[in-house]
Amino acid sequence: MKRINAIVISLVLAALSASAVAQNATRESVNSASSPAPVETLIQNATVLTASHGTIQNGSVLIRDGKIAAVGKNIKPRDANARVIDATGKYVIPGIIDCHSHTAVEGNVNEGTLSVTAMVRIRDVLNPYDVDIYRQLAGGVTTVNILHGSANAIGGQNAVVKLKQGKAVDQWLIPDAPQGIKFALGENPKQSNFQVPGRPRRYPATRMGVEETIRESFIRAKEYQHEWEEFQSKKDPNAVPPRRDLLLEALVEVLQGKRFIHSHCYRDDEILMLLNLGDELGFHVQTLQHVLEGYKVANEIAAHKTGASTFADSWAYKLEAYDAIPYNTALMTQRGVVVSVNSDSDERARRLYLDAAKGIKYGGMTEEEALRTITLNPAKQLGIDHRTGSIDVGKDADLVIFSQHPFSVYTVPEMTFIEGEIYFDRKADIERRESLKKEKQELIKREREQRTGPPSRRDDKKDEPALRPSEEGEGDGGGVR
Amino acid sequence: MARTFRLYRRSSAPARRSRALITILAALIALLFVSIPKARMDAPDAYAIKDAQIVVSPGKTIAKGTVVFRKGLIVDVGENAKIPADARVIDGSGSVVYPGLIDAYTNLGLPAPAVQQTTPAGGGRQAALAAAAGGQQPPPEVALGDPSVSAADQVKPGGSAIEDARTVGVTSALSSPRQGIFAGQSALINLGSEDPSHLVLRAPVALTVQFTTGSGFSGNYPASLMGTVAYIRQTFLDAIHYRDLVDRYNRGKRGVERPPYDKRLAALLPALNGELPVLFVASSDLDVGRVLTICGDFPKVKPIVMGALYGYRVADALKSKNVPVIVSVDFPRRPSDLPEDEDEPLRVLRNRAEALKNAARLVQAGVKIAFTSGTLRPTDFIANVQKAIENGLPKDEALRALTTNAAEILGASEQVGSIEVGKVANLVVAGGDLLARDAKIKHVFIDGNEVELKKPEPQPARGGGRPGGRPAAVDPSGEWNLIIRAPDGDQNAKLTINRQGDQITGVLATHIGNLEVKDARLNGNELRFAISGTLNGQSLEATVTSTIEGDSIRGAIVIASMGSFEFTGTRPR
Repeated sequence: MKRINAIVISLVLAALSASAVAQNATRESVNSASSPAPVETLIQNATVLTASHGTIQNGSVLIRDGKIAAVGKNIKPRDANARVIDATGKYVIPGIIDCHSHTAVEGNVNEGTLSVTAMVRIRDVLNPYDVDIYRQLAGGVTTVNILHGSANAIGGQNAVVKLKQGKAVDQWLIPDAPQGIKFALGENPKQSNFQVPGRPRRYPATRMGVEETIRESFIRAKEYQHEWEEFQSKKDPNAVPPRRDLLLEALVEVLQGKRFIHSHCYRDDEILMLLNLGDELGFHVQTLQHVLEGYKVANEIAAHKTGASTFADSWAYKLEAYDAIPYNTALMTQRGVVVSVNSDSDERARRLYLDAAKGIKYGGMTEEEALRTITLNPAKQLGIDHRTGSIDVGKDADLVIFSQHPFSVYTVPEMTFIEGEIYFDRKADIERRESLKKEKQELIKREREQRTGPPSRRDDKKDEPALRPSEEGEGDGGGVR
Repeated sequence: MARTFRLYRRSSAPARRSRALITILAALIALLFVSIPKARMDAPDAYAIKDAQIVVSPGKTIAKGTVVFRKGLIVDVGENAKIPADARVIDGSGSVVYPGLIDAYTNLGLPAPAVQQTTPAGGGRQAALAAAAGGQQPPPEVALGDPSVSAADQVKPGGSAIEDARTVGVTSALSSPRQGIFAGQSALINLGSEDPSHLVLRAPVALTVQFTTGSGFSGNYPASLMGTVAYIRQTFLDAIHYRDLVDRYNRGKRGVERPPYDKRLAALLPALNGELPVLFVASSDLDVGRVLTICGDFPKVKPIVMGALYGYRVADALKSKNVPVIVSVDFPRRPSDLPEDEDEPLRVLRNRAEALKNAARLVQAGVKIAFTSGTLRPTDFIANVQKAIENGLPKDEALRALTTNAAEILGASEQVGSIEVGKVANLVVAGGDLLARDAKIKHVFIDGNEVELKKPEPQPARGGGRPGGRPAAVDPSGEWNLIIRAPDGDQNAKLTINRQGDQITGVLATHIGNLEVKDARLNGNELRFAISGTLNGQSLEATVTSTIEGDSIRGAIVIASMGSFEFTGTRPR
């Protein structure tokens, strides 16, 4: 949703200053390469919220080879050298999954020039150095669905990644996660809220136009599919293969059920439109994103086996959000929709556990139902629940240890594991701060020495050029263009 | 010349006189404008540099020997090389002769990029449908580039940039077209010739592909990095399809639909077939990763990576795929306008320290490297190579990067890179170590001709008010059309500068608001100023440094803690 503002802002240098503000907000990214996992890790004496089969008091989780080897009471490690973490009084939950994120993207999250950009891929522009990654790990987030922005009726391809900070970015992608694509309905793709002066309005400019853009694209995708099937069935050695089209290939994959649609939407009418269009053209909508009026059409959403990924609150922030209510999460859940609570924000992503708790206050969800909205349910929506999303034997050891109950406002995430490796450790972080401070001071000192040159030069008149002027400011960031 | 006059004496007197006058005038004009050919007329065919230390190639040195070259080619090298009777002899005692240095990526000799028009294009139902249809290419335009553009067709000799490069011992440079994603084909040029037809050593050397995004304002695809990556992949696929169509047609034309001729796609085929390397402008290690991903889909493509500021982070991948790197030494610097006590993030400080070790680490990992000056002035280029040496790069490896490696990467090992018989006589005679901080260059020969070395450009007083030595002051006033290279794509803006005496005021107009020009200072042809104002509700302050040459301007907008954003521009008359 807010992503659309980013388009406006990015128009000129404002985008740069906006990022500057963000950078200033936090000074140091504590760049932690994860600590390598021992053969076994046992977390014991914890309250284990499994998200799949209830709560285990005084429970243990055994991690072996990056997987959950055992969950329950009185578990002993096989290996005598196992790392044992005493979590007395603490809580363990599955790693949090954010089903709507725009984190760690280099460049614009919108290829906003065209209404259909199914050919662009978020995976091509991942930025593993984004400072927000560590902040999210510190909030217990282990997996994110990084989506293209909502500027286009059919946007780009999303990437489902684990935040394996310190590892090469190609290792972040979950290898067996189904591919996906962003769709968007309503104000953003019809560009109601922003326009560039002097530039003609892009088609489509109405909800009718958005529908037609999607319909037309799929009709073309079917033609394209047919063209290739013809070519392959004829086996004519003299025939030239049809032109490969990355845009239409992605849409054919949607038709084949190999690529999930994650569609930005707010209003009930547009939600029904997309579900009906899917019935007409033969595509399945995997998730509706934001879906603030989903409670009005929850039966229809459930009947389509479509998931809903919504905000816990932030209502009425724009016209499309006027009918949003805090009970949306609970009401859709009651009607059988698989519901997740997402952030759509690097800031909110740090405290999704508190957003999940709101489902208990508004609508009386059970504790486990609420927990599932940030763990098992988004895992189902992203097609990765076979490997993450709950604390069950055989799943990836994606876990968070909280100081108190994760739904308490006093809670603090203390440790975050991805596949058994520690990517955030609050205690280690605090201990590291002194040495980081020292490193920083040394770097500053060394730079200053180089800038000013040998001491004999320091008394030179100000107007004189520095000894080695190229070391002076005017940094261009080393950019090679 | 004398013979010519004698011929004219045989004509009738009046005609003779006027013709003689014309000839004299013509000769005078020729002398005025073409000084080097005059020098060349006087120059002997052969030279010998004797009693010099000769660095034949990095790591291979003759302690005391002679280099003989004739008609632009090296004819003898060695301790006992025979000096021909007609050779001009240069006493090299106390000097070291080096192979001429190669700057492996520049835009030298090429015209400045044209300013993009902010045509209100894009959008529109047709564009949306065309994209959906997929069957059509976006119209060829500046942002997308034209792979058929050839630097060899465009390079022009002379100019201060080329002269400056020679003063530090650079004798050859790869010159690449610079506009658009598929910028075109580069040429390796010698920096000595005044004759355009003798500039080119080798062309085409590589196809330049850059991750630039289209014009952000005009709404043309692509306007995001991910769009650019997708565009590159799709264009390669289109070229393959084009090749298939043409091949099919050539196998038998009867009854086969004739494929339309497409010079842009046709120009990509040598690159896709692996016959012409593709030079990817990849500014960071992340861009390098993108290059390797793209090339994974097109296995015949032979990539050269250019830039790679933190390339050491992906050194293993570069090594395992045998990808050479033309390393930028345009290191990130602390913005000079940052307050002394500014609390910069640790990772920014780390990056600045690590960037200096990039070349050393790449070499250590076994990656073949050359160097590019990027946007640096020649003196800063060499000074920064020296910094790389101070940060762990063995000096021989630095020299290798500037000579033999560069020649190999650019496919010109037969011609340049070392002092061996038969190679082009590109030579630098230095008073000692060429890569030392106090290096003194005595002579530079390019194609066997001694080139005049302008008094070395004063160390750039980047920002410092330095008396004398600067180019004559220019008048910055007027309206400048700028293209700002922002992360999201090129942005157009208009800079209006008014000058009254020493007072310089102005405004930077963007599509979403105006910024006031303040504290402007003109120093020679360097214009520096601050800009401040509110854009889209966000207050913005930045400093701008720029260099004006005639009606073109280039420089950078520096935003505290954000690094800087280059721009180029022109002043329409």
